[in-house]
Amino acid sequence: MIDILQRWILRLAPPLVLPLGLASLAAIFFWVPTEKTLGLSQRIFYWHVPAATVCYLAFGIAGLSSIAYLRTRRADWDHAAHAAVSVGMMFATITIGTGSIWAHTAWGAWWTGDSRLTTFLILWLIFASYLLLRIFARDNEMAPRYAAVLAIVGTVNIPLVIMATRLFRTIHPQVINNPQGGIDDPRMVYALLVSFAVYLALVLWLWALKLAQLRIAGRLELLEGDRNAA
Amino acid sequence: MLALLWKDLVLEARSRETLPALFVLGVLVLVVFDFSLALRPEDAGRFAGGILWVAIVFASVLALGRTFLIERENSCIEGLLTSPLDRGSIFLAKLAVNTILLLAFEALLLPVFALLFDVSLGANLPGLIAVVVAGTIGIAATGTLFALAALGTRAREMVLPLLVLPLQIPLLIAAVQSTQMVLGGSGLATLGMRGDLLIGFDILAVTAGWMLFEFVLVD
Amino acid sequence: MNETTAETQVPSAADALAQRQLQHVGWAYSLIFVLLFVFAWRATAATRRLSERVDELERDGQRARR
Repeated sequence: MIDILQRWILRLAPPLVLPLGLASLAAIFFWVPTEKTLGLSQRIFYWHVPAATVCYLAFGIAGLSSIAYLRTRRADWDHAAHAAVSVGMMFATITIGTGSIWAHTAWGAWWTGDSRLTTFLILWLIFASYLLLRIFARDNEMAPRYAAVLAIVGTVNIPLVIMATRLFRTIHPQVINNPQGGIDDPRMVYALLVSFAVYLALVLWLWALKLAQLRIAGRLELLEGDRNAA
Repeated sequence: MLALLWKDLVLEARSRETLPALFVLGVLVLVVFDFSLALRPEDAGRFAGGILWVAIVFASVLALGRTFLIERENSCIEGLLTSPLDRGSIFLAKLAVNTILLLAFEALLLPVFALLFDVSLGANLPGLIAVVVAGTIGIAATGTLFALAALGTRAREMVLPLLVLPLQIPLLIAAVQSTQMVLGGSGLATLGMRGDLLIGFDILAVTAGWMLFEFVLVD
Repeated sequence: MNETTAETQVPSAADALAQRQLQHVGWAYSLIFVLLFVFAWRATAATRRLSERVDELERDGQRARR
């Protein structure tokens, strides 16, 4: 099943990404009105928020694939999880990077002790250690299993990150239902939706790319193992 | 399961190596903080909770691999697996041993801590004990789950902190804040969300460990 | 005519702020592009390299069997 998924994504996603991406950028820079309180810098929002959402999606896929791996012990699920974490980490880095830049221009500080920032950083750290584990434990045949356990525990953290702004005090801009600004123009909503579409295509495409790499690497290992045994 | 618990405890008590090492390590961390931060007495109170928990977490991350190391060296793991005991119970037994070990360590560390930072422990001692126990369970649970995994990798002891510390951060935040409040005399009821986070984390960590431990054991 | 030259010669504080904000936005989007590009590039290059190696090994295997 993963094989088919990978093939279809690699066929369908690339031709979608470019036009969608261009449409999104055009919308963000030429079409969308400037937001009241934060000014021009608010345009970062359109590619910052989908990055975070897609990151949660990727890590969620990693967790589910890890559960599947632990149940079936099929390497394909392990590769799917590993690829998902890789891609998720990249989008997490994008989220933190764009968030920092936005914070710097809007408030003057690159970072703050905000609850959303802290919990998101924790998520980043957890999955960073996942990738480190895969590097350190490469020779160990148990490594995929340890990694799967780590991914599952890490995924449990995602709801915490999402709920952080509702549970704890935060300076993170509340975008929905904010009487003082936020999204008050339908054009903003459309631009955001287009951005979500771009990111969805991107995350699936990059996941499939990474998955292809990991599966070939796995195949290579098997072949080399056979050759060494012969 | 109780037999396993007893066996590990006896092993620990006989080897008597881990607890002194833990204690000295904890004290060292406290002292390093004392000198490097050079806090004035008035400020020490504000950071005391954080310093205490950093010492506990760092010392425990190094010690938690120990119980498994001992077993590995004595090839006890195969014996463990052939026993009719289910994996979850093995985890609980290991968790209990590690928790007891850490609590013993903390009992020794707290007086030193109080002395170094001129902090009075008595403001709400039962509350402080409750908070420390809750935090310790969380640390022990996450550490126990991943200690075996870490030992299996090339980098050994270096990997456990990498795996476990990010997961423990929410617990740390809750524990530090709760400790600060309790040291200041607040009652447990006033802890609110911090207390909930502590207990919630413990429940999650122990449950996750109980369910996932079998995957960490070699077939 | 005079008003327009006066406007273009003295950038107001609001314009300077807007310029700076735009710069930041540019940095943010550049960061995104670079990261995405590097990721896609590395994955594709690695896959190509690995599949060449796999083909090589498979050819060797076939030769050995003959």
